[in-house]
Amino acid sequence: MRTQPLRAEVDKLRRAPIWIAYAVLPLIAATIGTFNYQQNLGVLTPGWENLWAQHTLFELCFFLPALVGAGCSWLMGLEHAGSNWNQVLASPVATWRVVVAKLVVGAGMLGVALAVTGALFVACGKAVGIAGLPSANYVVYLLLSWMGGVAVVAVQLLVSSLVRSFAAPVGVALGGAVMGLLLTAKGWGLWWPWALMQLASNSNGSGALSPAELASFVAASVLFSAAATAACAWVVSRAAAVSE
Amino acid sequence: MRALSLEFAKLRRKNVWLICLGVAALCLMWVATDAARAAQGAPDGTASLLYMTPLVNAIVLTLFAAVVSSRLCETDHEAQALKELLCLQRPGSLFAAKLACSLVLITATVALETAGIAALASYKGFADQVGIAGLAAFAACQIGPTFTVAAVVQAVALRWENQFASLALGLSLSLAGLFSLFFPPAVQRLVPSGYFGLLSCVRMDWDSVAHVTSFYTVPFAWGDAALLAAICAAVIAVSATWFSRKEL
Repeated sequence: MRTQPLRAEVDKLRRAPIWIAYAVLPLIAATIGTFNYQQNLGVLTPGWENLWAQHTLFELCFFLPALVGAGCSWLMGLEHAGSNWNQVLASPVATWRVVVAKLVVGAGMLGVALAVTGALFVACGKAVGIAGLPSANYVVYLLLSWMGGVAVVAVQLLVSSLVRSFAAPVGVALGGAVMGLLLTAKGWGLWWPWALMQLASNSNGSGALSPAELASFVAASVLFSAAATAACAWVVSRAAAVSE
Repeated sequence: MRALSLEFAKLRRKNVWLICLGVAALCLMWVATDAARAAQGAPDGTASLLYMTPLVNAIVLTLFAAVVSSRLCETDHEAQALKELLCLQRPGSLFAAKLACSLVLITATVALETAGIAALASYKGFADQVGIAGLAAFAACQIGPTFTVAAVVQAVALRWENQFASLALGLSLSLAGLFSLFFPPAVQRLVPSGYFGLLSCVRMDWDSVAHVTSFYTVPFAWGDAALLAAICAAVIAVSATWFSRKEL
């Protein structure tokens, strides 16, 4: 019974291969980023660092949060249809388990995007002839980005539980990402969930998080994830009132 | 006209005007952050705003167009109303009404954004203020690519009930549009959102030795505008035919 909600979420994914978008978006970013890197070798310092910036700067700052928004809309979409919330709430499963199952699936799809980003980074780097292999720091960047991204998944699930529209939460995600960019420039990125992925990824080459920043980053990620998941479970538990 | 007002009636309580306002505010906030770095009364302040805005729009307005188109089509999918609607209304009329509705929302958003840019330039006292005609031309150059993206996304949003496909397409166009701005014009012409850059009349020159940025104007790209109009017309024609033959 405990794992039933998770199995149900995976079942829903079986005939709706939305994970393909999570692989295609990094593919577009990697293809164009590598081409751009090649075109600007006269201006850039050749190496893994600049290729990483070309691959991830726009993807992690704007587009992955927005894709996560679309994914979370999809995860909540089926329950929003008809009177499905009533059925979910009438089933012998705690609402927080339903929300956590959605969070796990959302985090898994984000993991697919980041794994593809990492794999394409190495593959494109070797294809354009960069010597050696990238340092292990990039694995840390990806893991931390995933951790920050889980907070985005949790917040977007909350937004999608409040807003029945499929498209509007995607706009919220993009707006959040742009605000994240502006707040990060002001040094307030840790206080904004949509900024966490770009902070962790070092995609603008400003340097990895210092040990003190790392502790704050982990605390902020966990706090945003837990708070948004709890709020989402609370909203879902009252969803019968809005279900048609 | 009745079909258009029906589309707006379907959007009642969907907060679309709030989304328009939010998008215009977001773009302005982004551009204003950049403008804040320019000195009061800078000689090329407005040119820098008009250079920066299409870059921001390639990201934000492209996704906005996808959100609006998807929202317009979702209302009918959600209510499973297409079957009934198409017994009462010709497919072409419904399709055109949705496009016209997108165009109204896009025009309103771009008008707000353009007015905000003019206000920002005036507040900062930039020396190179642009007149009404210049601002109108600028707005038209933002509406064109945004509307073309809306037409492309509408084709997908009407075809598939799952709106994830249309929004993923919008995101991909936004990403491709942004990246294409750093590519040669031949590549930019392949992506509808790449026309934000192609139709911009302000270009930038970066002197890497002196670390100085200078802006200059170029003549309006009539050829690219005509190409965009042709692409838009072709997309509308194909998707309207596709929609009229859709099995319900």
